[in-house]
Amino acid sequence: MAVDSDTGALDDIRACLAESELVVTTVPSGAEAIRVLEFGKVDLVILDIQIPDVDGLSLLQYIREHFKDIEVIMTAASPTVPDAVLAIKRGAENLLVKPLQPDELRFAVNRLVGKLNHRRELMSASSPPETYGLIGISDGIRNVIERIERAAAINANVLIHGESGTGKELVARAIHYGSDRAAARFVPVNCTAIPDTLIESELFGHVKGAFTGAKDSRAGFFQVADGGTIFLDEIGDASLNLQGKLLRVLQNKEIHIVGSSNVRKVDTRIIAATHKDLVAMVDKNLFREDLYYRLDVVDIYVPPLRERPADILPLVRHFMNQYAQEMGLEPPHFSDRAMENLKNHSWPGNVRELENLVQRLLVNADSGSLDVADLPKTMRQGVRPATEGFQTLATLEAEHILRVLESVGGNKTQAAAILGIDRKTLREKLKRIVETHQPG
Amino acid sequence: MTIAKLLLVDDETAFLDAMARRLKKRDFDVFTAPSGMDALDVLSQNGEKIEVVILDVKMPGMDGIETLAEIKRKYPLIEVVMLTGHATVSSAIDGMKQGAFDYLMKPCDMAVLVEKVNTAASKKRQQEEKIIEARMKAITTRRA
Ligand SMILES: Nc1ncnc2c1ncn2[C@@H]1O[C@H](COP(=O)(O)OP(=O)(O)O)[C@@H](O)[C@H]1O
Repeated sequence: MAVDSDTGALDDIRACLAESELVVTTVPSGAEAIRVLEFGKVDLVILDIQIPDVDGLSLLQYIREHFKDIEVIMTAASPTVPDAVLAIKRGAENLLVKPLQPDELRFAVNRLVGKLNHRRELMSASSPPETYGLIGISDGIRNVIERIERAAAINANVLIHGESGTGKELVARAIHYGSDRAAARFVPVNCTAIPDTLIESELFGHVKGAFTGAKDSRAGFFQVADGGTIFLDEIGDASLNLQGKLLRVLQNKEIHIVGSSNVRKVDTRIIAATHKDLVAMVDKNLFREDLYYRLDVVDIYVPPLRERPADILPLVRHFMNQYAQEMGLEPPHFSDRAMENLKNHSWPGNVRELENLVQRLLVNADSGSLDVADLPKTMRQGVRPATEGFQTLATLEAEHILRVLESVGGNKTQAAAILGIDRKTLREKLKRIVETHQPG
Repeated sequence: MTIAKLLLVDDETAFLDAMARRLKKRDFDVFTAPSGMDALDVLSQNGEKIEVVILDVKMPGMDGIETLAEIKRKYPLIEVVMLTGHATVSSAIDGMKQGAFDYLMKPCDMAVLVEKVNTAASKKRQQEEKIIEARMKAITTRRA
């Protein structure tokens, strides 16, 4: 699309690009330019700095902010240096001085078309397909995505299970934002983090003066999520007390605000997640069966990373690019052997472990490339000296615990969950490890 | 706000000295270099410290745009403000595309220059903070 108040200039541009395969639209004003842009078929704008209704540089900024994939070439009859600086700062690809030289214009346009094509190729080929922000190409993740789509289309409660760090919260968000509740809130609630005494006020809110310390009235999670979705993370760790309260909301679709006699209707979808085996817990009377059936209407299982190794490299690439960009660094290059080690690692902390590792590698990288030696010790294969004889169980246990702990970024709750022990046991073991093993 | 550390690069030594003096008076930490090559030397010795480079576009030998490209290649976080007596639109476009932070025309107003240097320095610090944050995260991750 070309934007210029001078019809002569527009004709020139048209003539100049007639040979190309581009579809050229010309408009005389900023207002019309925006109307065409909203229509959504523009890849490239040739924008004059002086148009009647808005300043060309402001329109440039508008385009950058609202249509970030559109490329812009500015034109100007007698630009000043500050104009040129501002144009490039605001993201124009170039600024051409009028009268336009056909060759120069064609050259600039061709370059941009090349850039756009290149970007499209990248999006469709080398960068992994992104669906709901979930990276992965394995059958496992495809299956998850399919189930997300189905769950998003209906209004039923969902139970997501899978190990820590596999992306359960991401799945929950994907369902919410893919559903027609997307405009309302997604409210994550960690069930382990609610003290028993505060359950009701946290979930249902309270009015001023409802109890000592209630200086103001406060909305509970269910009110905030009214019309939207509540994400109950670690539902397997909910106390029986909390389970009972949740069951009641699910049954009656109404809440009692603490300190008020009013009952309020709420319309909240529930997505719950856990790494625990709820069926086994139901058998042992640790989880209420009636609650389980109300939650488990749609069931989604997110497999651990080691069961979908095809996703490892796409995820590494994704996080590398993301964090490199955030830090303003070039993403480093991995040696084949380093890649091989990443692929063969068992990833007990799953995607979270991988994300942490990539961040750490990026920060510690001194050069543009990463090799096996840059990986954590536990991940290197073939470079570890063969151990002489056998190790004691205590040593093995210590190594394993430290490895798991590292994989979850030092989060003891998660480490304990993976190890299948409680936090207190983990703490005691860690104390013993620190006392007997000096880190080396 | 802490005062920024900067490197002034210009082949006119009289201008260089005058600017350096005026900037020092405003509590900036100022290094100077009379050419692109010298600028790269100063950076290789003090690269850690310098936050902003003010670079004359027109210099004999390695010109401003070449120096800019080299600085951005070696020290991507350092911000460079280009300074020029007679900029052409095309050189300004070149410089901005090479990653210059901004262009200023000579003779430049001190207040404008100071403000530009401060924004450039704070942009650099923000970038660095991000990196430090990530680094801290890495350390706590490792030894938690
Ligand atoms: N398939 C995926 N693609 C991109 N990022 C992912 C994917 N799975 C997990 N993540 C990221 O990994 C981290 C852990 O995911 P999270 O949803 O918190 O796991 P969980 O809730 O299962 O413990 C998050 O930062 C999340 O964004």
